Amino acid sequence: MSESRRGLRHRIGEIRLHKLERKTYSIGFVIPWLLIYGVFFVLPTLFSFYYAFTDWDLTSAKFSGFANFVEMFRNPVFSTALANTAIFTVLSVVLKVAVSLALAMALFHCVASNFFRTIFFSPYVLSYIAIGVLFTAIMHPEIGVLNKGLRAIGLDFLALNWLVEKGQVIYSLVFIDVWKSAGFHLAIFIAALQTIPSDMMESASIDGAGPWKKFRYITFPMLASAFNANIVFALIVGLTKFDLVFVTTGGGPGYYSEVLKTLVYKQFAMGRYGLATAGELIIFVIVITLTVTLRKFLDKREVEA
Amino acid sequence: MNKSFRATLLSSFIVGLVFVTACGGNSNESAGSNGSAPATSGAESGAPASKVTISHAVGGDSPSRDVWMKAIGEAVGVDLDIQVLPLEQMEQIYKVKAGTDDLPDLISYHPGARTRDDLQAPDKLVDLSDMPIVQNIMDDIKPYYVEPDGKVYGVPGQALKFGGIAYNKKAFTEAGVSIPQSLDELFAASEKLKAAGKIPLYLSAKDSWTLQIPGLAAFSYDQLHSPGILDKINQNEATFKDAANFIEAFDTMKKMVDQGYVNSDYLSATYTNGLQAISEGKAGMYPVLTSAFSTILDTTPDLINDVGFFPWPVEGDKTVTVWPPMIYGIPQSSKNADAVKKYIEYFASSEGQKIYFDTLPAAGVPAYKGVELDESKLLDPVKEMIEVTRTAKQFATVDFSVVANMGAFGQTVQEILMGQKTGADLAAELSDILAKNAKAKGAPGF
Repeated sequence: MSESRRGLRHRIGEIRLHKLERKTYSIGFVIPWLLIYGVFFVLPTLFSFYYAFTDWDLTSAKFSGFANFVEMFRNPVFSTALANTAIFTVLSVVLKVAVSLALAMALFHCVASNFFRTIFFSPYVLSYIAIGVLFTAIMHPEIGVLNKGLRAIGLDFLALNWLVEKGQVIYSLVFIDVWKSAGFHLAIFIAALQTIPSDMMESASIDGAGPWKKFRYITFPMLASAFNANIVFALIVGLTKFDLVFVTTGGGPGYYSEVLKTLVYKQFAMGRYGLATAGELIIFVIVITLTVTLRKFLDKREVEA
Repeated sequence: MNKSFRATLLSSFIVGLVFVTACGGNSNESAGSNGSAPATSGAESGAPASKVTISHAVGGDSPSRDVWMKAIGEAVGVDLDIQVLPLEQMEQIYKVKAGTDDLPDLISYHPGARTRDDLQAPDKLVDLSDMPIVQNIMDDIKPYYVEPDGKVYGVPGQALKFGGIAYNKKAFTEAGVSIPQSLDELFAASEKLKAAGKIPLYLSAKDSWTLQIPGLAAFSYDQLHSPGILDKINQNEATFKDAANFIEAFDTMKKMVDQGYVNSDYLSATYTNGLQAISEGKAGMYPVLTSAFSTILDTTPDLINDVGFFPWPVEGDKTVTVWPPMIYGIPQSSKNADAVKKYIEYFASSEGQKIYFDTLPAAGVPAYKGVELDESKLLDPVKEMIEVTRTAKQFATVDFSVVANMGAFGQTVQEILMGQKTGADLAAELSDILAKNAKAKGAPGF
């Protein structure tokens, strides 16, 4: 009897605490951020739906129907930019997830794990501008450290024209992006690894599961939500990549590393604001469609797992 | 209830605070950027002669510019608040500032159609046609400052600069070559320079804008050989496909690459690399705008007299492409228009021009008549520039003169150099872009 009374008191206490917590935080606190978000993001985005259908010179906008979209699709560079964006996105998503997962597994049980995590995370805090400048110097075909190093150890055949050869430039950019972002994805994977209960692993070991089986049947399914987050992050970043490409190659040589965002920027720079907005809208639709589709697929897989 | 009311109140207070500080910051900033004298003079109403502060926004950092601008400011009794804009974003920022009536007191922008269209000059800028200095603008470039209806929205705010080829005199002497007068001579000189161990023609495709210079410099020969071609392009009666010299310039660059006359790392080389190579004599020739000489003077002053300048070489009568100087103009929204007018007037006077050319001896050729430069102090490249203006007919660069923006086309030139396209392909592409942009703008004939 006394035990059940104590239990009741405890529950009442919990409810009170719960109520107290709920009263402490008012929805009113959201207002400033909602306003800023609304004024500087939602409103301009909504306006862009209108401006994409006009010839807009900042002061007047003349309605032009679908002309901007037609012009964008007919731009001879558009298909190149679309293909480059696709290559960049697919490769960077796969590599970022694979590399960061491998690093996470290696670092999780490693001795100086914190030290290495910091090392791998550090490129992520550098700005793309700095990284662009850095890699332009490192990957210079003649005086760059990379090729000089390769030649010094007798690997002359690997000393390529990283950023100036039409067939290589997009892959070099993928490499730089993976190098920069792997630490970020690594952090997400490590956080997820830490949530896996150790007793699960122990009982699997007692049942005779080896490292591969433990990874395949415990770690991998338990990491599903981290996978999803990493894939979706990497997908959006890949589809909207601008800074790295703009600083490192400017879309060149020729248009061999032009991506959708840099192409749109060039229309903006010519003063064709309506056309550029239409281009942004195209990217917006691509990003939303792919992200939603992928999320649905991944969520389904997560439930099954 | 009570708590949630308090929380809402607190949120509203924070929102209010954000707006107040934002607006406060804005008005302070506009006091700085618009140089609003009332704010300053209001605070110092007791002071008998408070100096007016003129705000100015200009692309790219330049220590020597600060020196001469402030010296002129001192001479007319004004302070200057110079905002340095990133060079590559200068145009965008100016367009947005014009659109939002936030232009600085003294503006610096591309002349001609660019000022008229980008900054909506008739609605936004003060007409300066009553200023006496307008009569002193050099005749060749006057059309870029005086509108067909006689209005003047800006006057030259710099020296004249040209597009052509910078060459290293020591390299030329060593290889035993003289200034080429035709494209054949350009190839012959390149062969000799190569034999002397020099890079005959330096190209810096990493900064793709530098690749546009040969074509823009050669277009003045199209204007010489086919009079009226520019007007016809602007009325959609001709296109860049009719500009034979323009096309040939890019095909020539490709031939130079194929024959090994160009630096092997041309796709990775930058403008800075190019300036270093030409001033140190590692390269014999480098297509540039003459503003490059000011940079060489800033970085390696002892090498400035080793370099010289000649226009793009085409057989027969000579022409040179001039980049009309950026304008100085005043927005209608400026509260300091009178002070700015005084500033501009002094800049264009003999005294002002003396300060300008003393601080920037490699700036180029004066844009105003009657400005005498001290011959004994002239640097070699400037002497050659002045000589060119005496012997070659001047035409303003086509990208300032066409009816609509023709865009940057350096990347397509990269493709030409890589063998993916030809000069004719580029001409067709540019004609298409120009037609689309002109149509979007509503230009007659498109």
